[in-house]
Order: sequence, then structure tokens, then C-alpha cells
Amino acid sequence: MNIQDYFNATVAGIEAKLSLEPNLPNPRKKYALNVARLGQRLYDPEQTIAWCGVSVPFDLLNAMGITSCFVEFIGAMLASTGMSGPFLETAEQSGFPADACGYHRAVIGATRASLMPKPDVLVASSCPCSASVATIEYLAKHFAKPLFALHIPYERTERNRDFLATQLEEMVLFVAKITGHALDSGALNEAVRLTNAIREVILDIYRLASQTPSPLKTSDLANFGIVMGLFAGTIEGLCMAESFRDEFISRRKAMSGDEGGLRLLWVQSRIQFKHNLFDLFENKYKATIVIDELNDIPWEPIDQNDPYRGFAERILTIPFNGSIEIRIKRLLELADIYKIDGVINPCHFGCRQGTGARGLIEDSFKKRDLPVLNLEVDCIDQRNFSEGQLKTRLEAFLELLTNRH
Amino acid sequence: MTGLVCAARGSGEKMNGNRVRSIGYSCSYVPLALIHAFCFRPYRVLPLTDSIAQAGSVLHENLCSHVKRVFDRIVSGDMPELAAFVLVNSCDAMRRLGDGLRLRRPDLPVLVLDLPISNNPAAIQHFADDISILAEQLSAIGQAVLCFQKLGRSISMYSAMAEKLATLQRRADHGMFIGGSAKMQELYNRAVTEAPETFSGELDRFLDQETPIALEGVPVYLIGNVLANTEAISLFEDCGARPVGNDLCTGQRLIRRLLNTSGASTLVEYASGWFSADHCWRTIDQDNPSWLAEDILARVSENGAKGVIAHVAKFCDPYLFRLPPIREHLMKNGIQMLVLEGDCTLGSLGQQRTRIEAFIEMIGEAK
Repeated sequence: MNIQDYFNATVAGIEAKLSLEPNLPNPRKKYALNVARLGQRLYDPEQTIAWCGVSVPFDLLNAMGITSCFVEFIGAMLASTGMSGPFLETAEQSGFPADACGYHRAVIGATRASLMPKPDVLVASSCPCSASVATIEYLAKHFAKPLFALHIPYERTERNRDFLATQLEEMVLFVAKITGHALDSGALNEAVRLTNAIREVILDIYRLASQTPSPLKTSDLANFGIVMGLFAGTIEGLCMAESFRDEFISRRKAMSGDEGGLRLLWVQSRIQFKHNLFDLFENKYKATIVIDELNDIPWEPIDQNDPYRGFAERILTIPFNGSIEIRIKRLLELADIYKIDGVINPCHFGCRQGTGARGLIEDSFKKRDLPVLNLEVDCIDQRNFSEGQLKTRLEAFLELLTNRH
Repeated sequence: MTGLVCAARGSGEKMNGNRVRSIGYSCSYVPLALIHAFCFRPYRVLPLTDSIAQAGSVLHENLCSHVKRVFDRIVSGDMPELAAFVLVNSCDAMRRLGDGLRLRRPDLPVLVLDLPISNNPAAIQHFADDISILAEQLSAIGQAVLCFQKLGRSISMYSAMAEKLATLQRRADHGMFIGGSAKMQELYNRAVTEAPETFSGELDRFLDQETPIALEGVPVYLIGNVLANTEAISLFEDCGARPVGNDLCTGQRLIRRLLNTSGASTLVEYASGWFSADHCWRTIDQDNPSWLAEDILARVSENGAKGVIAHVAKFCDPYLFRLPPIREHLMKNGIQMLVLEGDCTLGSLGQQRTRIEAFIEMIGEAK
């Protein structure tokens, strides 16, 4: 089954299931449905497609009627369906480094295998990483399509915000010129309104998640923060967020308050392929990932009267931008807010920007007397995944946390 | 930064009785003339050291080997004392280098120079603005003010040095330089670690000699990033290669030549000329994403090379991701390429001797 068929089958399957329970929030099913529909649109030749870096403001592109996505999405989808292996191999056989980030290797392999949807335009962003820039540049060359390069300045200053805001305006003009999809001021206003509305609902979700006991299960908000960015400024995004919030409110009401358990912080991105590591969490140790680093809103509402500066400020607040002190400060804040017992860092293999700071992150948590488990796992490439070994290490870690609790 | 008082300074190791202090850096985009204009000596921290490896534990093992060695050198103090370190925001690994240095060397000011991802006019203006900030930081450390006349003299000095090195490189490529490419690498290393005024004068001594030597070996063009070991160049020659030019950060791209050769009267002009010179592979040309492969092929042809050896620091994503399209383009045009990943030690290259020899033999026999 190719990935296009996968999305079609997924949409059909989830729609059928949702029709059986129309009155339940079903947040995770709705989330999966919207993601699958996005996948369908990416493969629809009638759509105008933009492949982008993670930091690109998708609310702007959504408002322009462009189906846009970060390239790593395809890598994650391939991994989640167990299909990433052949594409990783294709990339490696073509000379791309086998020790580089699996997200990008999978995307490059998919491109060379003619599986990557052909874009109309590409927008690279220098944050969070260099490999993403190189990958998008490669796609631009491969597809011979226009490329816009968005530089995310290192420091969060007014000058840098204004420079970035100017670039965003230029990006919109560039994309409009290439695609014929101009940005209507009414559409922009509506997108900003929805972005801010979604922001409020997501903050509610995170507040609920931070409560003791937390209504969350480990799988509930996997990839949530980063994927919701794709639906920024859309009504679908708002509906998805509301269904999660409603579900968690409902669960919280049903809780007795005695439900204890270990509370975990997961650093950066989840392992995308199917695995059984989390069986240990809830079954044996009553442990829950109550917060993922990427499930965070460090930015203020976008100013309707000055949206480009607002989007620029939002991008600059991404903790992966700038020095590690900013990222660590936020991680420690999250640990406090969510009353964390322990931290798990997958240390995604090949991630220079994220995993490159492994030692610094670990030291910072140790100074706070918070245990950290570094998994050293490739979140996309399961060819060398040793589930047994990792389970043993995880079990020992959870045992440690239990004894400390 | 205009209209400032000109601070009269001399040159040399001691000025006004004070020792010249060094400012460390590890990227060719660092504006050397600006640092020099503040009476500092720019000191490139090359990844040549026997320091204990610490970067892996502080940061991560799978990080660019160039950055790890630079970190190890600075943390262990294996270099002249530095007044500050200019960190260029060029890639993930460099950002982590800055993080690690702030933790392990809190006594060493780390001055961040933001490097735009592409070379459009807005990006160049942004780079100019950042250079202005760097100038203010250097001013504070050196307790001096920027003098544009001094900057102009420093620009001229570095431009002249770059021209001299380019002349010597051409001679080395054509067998007119004793010591050949290995000696050239030694000169490159000295150019960025010694006092530029005296070293530039010493280059004249080499320029006065134009001694033909027997041309031996198969002409190859070297590309990649960091290859500062003179022994590595000698290894290539021992394997039968004759380097004829290079596109290396520690070679011909070591000292960027200001495109505006008449100098700069403003920091914007300086930034524009400096940024627009030879591109590092990480810099995108939006209008022509394929520029790199085309540029390398053109240089290979100009230099009469029969093949290309690409040497890249291990775990350097900006370079490793760009190699396959380069290889494909070269192969379409009948040029073979050998890729070597190094950890900035000679040991890692020595293990690849057999591959290098086989490659040289193959391209040497090709018609």
C-alpha cells in the first residue's frame, strides 16, 4: 500500500468510526482524521502545495488557500506506518549520510522514489535545524521549483523581530506571485482570529494536563503541539483543540482525585513508529507523559493590527531558536508547572540541534534533582530499534522514580 | 558607527606598551578586518589539537567533529589567551558550540554573529547590522572606538594577503611552488594564527621564489570544509594525487576577498562585500539552488582536475547533505568524486589510504 492509499483508507476508516459515536469528543480520532485529510490534500494534484520548514507560519499559508506542510511530516507518516525502511535505504544508497536525522533521510528517500508530492513552492526556515534547510533546498532542486529562504535570527530582539516580519511579508508576496494565491486581508484577519482562539483553547488543554491528577494518558497528546501548527488559523484546528479540551474536562470530572502516579516530561519529539515501550507506563508503573516539550505555547496572542510582527515574535519564541539557556529555562519551568517526577529524552539520533545539547540538558535537570533517562533512539528508523534493551532501561528508570516518589 | 573619532594606533605585537590580545573564531565568515581594526589579532581556532576529548560528554558525540575539536581546544586552553570568541550562527553545531563554551568557559565572552541563510539584499543589510553590533562589542572589550581609516587599512591588508595566497596557490597548482600543496596548507594555517602584518610580509618572501618543480601525480580538486592538517595534504600526495586548487574553508575560502576591492567606507559596504564573496555551502542562493554543483564543476574544469576528493567533517549536515547532488552533477560530466569523512585527526584519514590510492589509480587511468 503506498502512502496515498494509506491516507485514503485512514480517512474512510475514521469517518466510519466517528459516525458510530457522533456525540463523543473523540479528540484523538478527529485529530487523526484531520491529519489524514491533510495527507490526502498533499497528494491531490488539484491543490497548490507548499513544502516548508517547521518554523514557517502555516496560518499565513492556510489563509492563502495553500496546502502547506513541514517536510518532516512525510518522514513521520512513513515511520508510523512502518514503511520508512526502504526510503531510508534509498537515501543512504544515494550518498546521504546514514547518521543524519531520520526525518530528512526518509523525506529524501521518498523524493527519490517519486513518492513525495510535487510542490508548487518551497519555504525553508533556518530554525530549528540545518538539515531541514538542506533537505528543502534539495527538494527545490529535484522538483525545479521556486524556493524562499526564511532566516530566523538568533536573538530575540525588536530589530530581529522586525527583520523577520519583513521577511514574512516578502514570503507572502513571493508565494502569491508563484502560485497566484494572494493573501486577502479578510482571510488574514480571520486566520489571526482563529489562531488566537486556538491558542486559548490549547492553553486550557495544557492547564488541564498540568493538574494533579492529570486527566492525560501518555498517547493523548503525542505530536499534538507540532501538528496543530499545521492547522493554525483554521476552523479545523479550533474544532480539534476544543474536542481535546472537552474530553479532558470530562475525564477530570470523572476522576476521584486519588489517581496518583509518576509524571513524566518527554523532551523533543516522540518515537514515530509503533512500539510497546509505553506498555510499561500505565500498566505497571502508573506513569504518564503529562507534558511533551513541543506541547507548549510560549508566545503571546497575535496582534490583529500588526500580524506580521506577531508571527515573527511567535517564531522567535520557539525554544529551539537561540541559545540553549532559553530552551533549558523553559524545560525547567515546564518541569515545575507539571510537577514532574522524571524526564525522558529520546535523544533522536542524528538531531544535531536538539540532541547536540544532550549533556547540557541533563546537567540542568540533575542540578534540580530531577532524574533524566537518555534513550539514544532514532525516532524514525526502526531498523536498529532494540525494544528489549530500551524496555529494560526504561523499567529501571521507572523503578528509580517509583522509589523516590 | 559613523563619524567616530579616529584612534591612532600602531601595529605590531605591542601597542602603546600593551600586548595585542587575540579574538578567537572558527568560521571564515568572521570579519577579520573589523577585529583587526580594533587592534586585536584575529586567531582562528583550528581543530588541530591533542586536547582531551570533552565535547561528547558536555554536548553529544554525534556532533560535527570540527566543532567538537574547537570546543576541546578552547576548554583546555590549548591556544593563546583569548579576549573573546566570535561565534558565527552558521549551523546547529556552531550554536551548540556557543552553548558549551558559555557553560565551560564562562570567563570567555562569546560574541554571536548572526549569519543569514541566504544572500538577498535584506539578508545583507541584516548582516551589516549585526556587524555593527559586533563592532560595539569589540569596542567595549578593547575600550577603543572604530576608525574607518584603520578599517580601510585592515581591509586592504587582508585583501592583499588573500591575493598573495591566491597567487601562491596558483603556483602550487602548476608546480611552481616548493613544498606544493602541503606547504600551502601550512601557510594558510599561519595566515590565520599569526600576526597578520608580519605574516603578510613573509608571504612576499615566498612570492619572490618561483621555482618550477616536477609535476607528479594525478590532478585532483579538493572540496569540502575543514582540512587543516598539512599531513592530510601530504597523504593525498603520497597516494598519487596532485591537488590543483580547492574549495575548502581552511584552504582557498579561508580568507574571504572583499568583492569591492576599493575598500569600504561604511559597514554596510563592508558587510555586503564580505558576505558576497565565496559562498559556504550552507548559504542558499534562492535564485539558483543548484549553484553549488555548477560552481564546483566549473572550477574542476578550470583547474584541469581529473577527479574530485571531497573531505567533510563527520556529522556536518550542511555539507554531507549537499554532496550527493554534487556527485551526480560531476558524474554526468564525466568527473568521479571520492568522499572522505574525517574527525579532524590524521588517524581517520590514514585509515582511508587504500581507498584514496584506489581512487587516484582509477581516475589516473581514465581517458
